[in-house]
This record gives sequence, C-alpha cells and structure tokens, in this order.
Amino acid sequence: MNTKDKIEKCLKSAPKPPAPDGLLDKLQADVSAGDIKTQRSALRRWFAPSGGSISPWRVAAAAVIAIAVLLPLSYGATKVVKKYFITFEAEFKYPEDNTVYRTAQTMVMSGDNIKSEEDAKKVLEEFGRLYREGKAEEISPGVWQVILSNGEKFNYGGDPEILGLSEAERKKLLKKQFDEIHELKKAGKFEKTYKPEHDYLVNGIKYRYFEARYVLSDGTVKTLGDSEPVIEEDEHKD
Amino acid sequence: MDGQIKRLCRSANKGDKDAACQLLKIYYADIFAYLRRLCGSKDDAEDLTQQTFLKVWSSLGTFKSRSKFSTWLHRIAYNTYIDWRRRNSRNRQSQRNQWWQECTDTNPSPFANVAERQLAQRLYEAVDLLDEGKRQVVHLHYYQGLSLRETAKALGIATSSVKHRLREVFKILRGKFSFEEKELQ
Repeated sequence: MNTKDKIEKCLKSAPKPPAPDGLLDKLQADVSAGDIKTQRSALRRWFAPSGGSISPWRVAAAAVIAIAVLLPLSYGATKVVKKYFITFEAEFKYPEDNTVYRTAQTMVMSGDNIKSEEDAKKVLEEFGRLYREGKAEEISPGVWQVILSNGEKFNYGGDPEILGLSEAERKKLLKKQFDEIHELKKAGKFEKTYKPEHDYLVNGIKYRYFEARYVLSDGTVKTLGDSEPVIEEDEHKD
Repeated sequence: MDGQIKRLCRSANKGDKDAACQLLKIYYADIFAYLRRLCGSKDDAEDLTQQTFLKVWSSLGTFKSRSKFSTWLHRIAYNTYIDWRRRNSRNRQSQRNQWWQECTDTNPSPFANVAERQLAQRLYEAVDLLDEGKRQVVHLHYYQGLSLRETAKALGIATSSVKHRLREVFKILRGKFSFEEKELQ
C-alpha cells in the first residue's frame, strides 16, 4: 500500500463525532413547531402575509407588541384571566422607490374589570386621553402608568402616542413618522444591526435581515425590521 | 434508498411532518458530524445543525431533485457554516479543534494500534490546517463520503476543481505522512 492509499484509508475511516443526546428531539420540535410547506419565520409571514412569494416591493416592517395590565390584579388566587388582543395595523407605500412600510401594534389587555372588547377599547381610549393631558407617568423605560377615572391603576408598555386617537388621526400621525423615516432611509441616516438568525431565502435569493434604528426630529426612536438581498449567492440551488 | 428519500422529500414538501422527521433521523447525525468537525465546538455544531435544518424546511419547496437530497443538505450546511465562520472569524483563531479525541475515546477505534491512531490524528490535524477550500473537499469527500461530483455540487464548484484541490491536498499530506512514518519507524 503506497502512501496515498494509506492516507485515503485513514481519511475514509475518520471517526464520526457522535450527535449529542437531545439534538434529535430539538430538531423534531422545530419540525412540529410549524407547517413545513408554508413554514416561514414570523418575519417572512410578516413580509408575505398572504402566503406565496414576497412581493417585489422592498418592505420594511415595524411590529410592536404592547402589554397593558389593569392593576391591582388579584395575586395568589387561581383564576382564569381573559385576555383581549387589540391590533392596529397600517401600511405606507412609496412607489418612487418601491418601498412599503408596514406597522402593527398589538395590545394584550387583561384585568379584573375588562370583561369585553368594548371595555378594553374604552380603557385604551381613556389612557390615550390621560397621556395627552400629561397625566401618565413613565414608571420604567417604555412603561406608562395612569390612574383611570374609576381609581384603578393602568400600566401600558408600548408606543403611547397612537392610543386614544381615531383611525384617521392615528394614520395621519404614523404617515408623518414614516415620511420622515423614509427620508432618513434614503439618506442612509440610520443604524443597522444585522440579525443573521432571521436571514431567509426567497426563490433562491438570500435576504439579510437587519434592524434599522431611526431617530426622528422630535427625538422619537423607531426600530424597523428590514432586509437586503445578498447578490453574490446562488446558494441552496440543487 | 434514493427512491425512499425522494418520497419522503415529496411528502415533507406537502407538509407531512412525519416524513420530515424521518428525513431528520436519516441525516441529522451526518450533518452534525460534518459541522462538529468543522467548527470546533459541540455547542456551535448543535446550533449550526439546527440552523441548517430550519433552512432546509423553509426552502424545501425549492429542492427540485436535480441532485441528491444529501448533496443539497450538505450545501446548505456548508453555507450555514461559511456564514457562521465569517461572523466568528476573530474568535475562531483561538479555538483548537480536536474532534477526533472526542470520538476515539468513546467509539471503537478503526485503527489497529496506538501508533496508527496517533498517525491518523496527526493527519486530521494536518487537514484542519489546510486552507478552507482544500479542507472542505477532504471533509465532504472523505469524511462525509460524498462522491467527487456531489462534493463539487455541495461546494458550488466544478468537479475538475475538486480533483485539482485533492491533488494539492495529497501533495501536502503525502509529505507530512511520509515524514511521520519515517519518524515512527
């Protein structure tokens, strides 16, 4: 046996590192977590909510989940707490450069005195009014507290600006913000943070996901999800 | 086997989770071993294996069976590793990858004696010191058992390039191996 044969034999019989216990379970759990054919990350669902391929429009997304809780809650007792989800969604298109911004804010409402969707909406409206009257206190970064007219404390974590507005007013406010964001985006005046764990593929093209942080003229900071194609690659083609 | 894999792929593509789990059972250990040998850490290999299969499920619809499923899978694993390597290029320098020690301690050794085993280990060490392109052809062709054509497809290069790289690899390893043999004698 010559040296080359010996090397080949040695390489072919290289030992195989054993897979750790529990890895298969984790991988199977990933399969169980979603439908394979339509399995897409939350990000992709967001980009292409109707299924199928992502539209040719460049899309930037902003999504916020806000938590709102009425205090005091009865701690220590076992009981079923009903939650109400209220979502505001908006979309703004800038056809000149095929950019679309989508934003959504979902409030998860719960509390002893929230017994219907109407109750939840009324609390949000009252919060918005009190916030605009300067009666909300920021008790920790991003969490606001007000005392409602019935004497209850109400905590809210999220963007307080859009609460207590009519739909038209809310859209007007958001449009103003996104107009400014769009100008900042065009001028490249934002900070990018790549999040490779959210990179995704569409029709064989890899898209690199990043968070774009914009500081608006009134000091408001908005962070949006965005992505850019990686041109060089034809990866994953079989 | 190939027919069975194709059937499983078709079923998985239609959303059949059992078929996907069957595919996992067949391939996950191979993919883990490939990534473990490359990246130098069990934990990183575990993460990369998970990322690889997430990419597989999200792009299974693009798999057209023009190549073997295992080749396509290795291509995704390779791309996942390359992305990870780019991101971790600074930390990687300090990592010492001795995957073979983990294996030979726990698995039955394919080598006849201690001297042969030590020689093999030095060879694996030499392979890990090769540049990325050469290292990959050794890992895919020899360690993973892919054919030359499959190795080329997994790396996205021509089969002739794989052959050329292997010739270069042998030039390097032959020198090293001959030296080691003489040393042992």
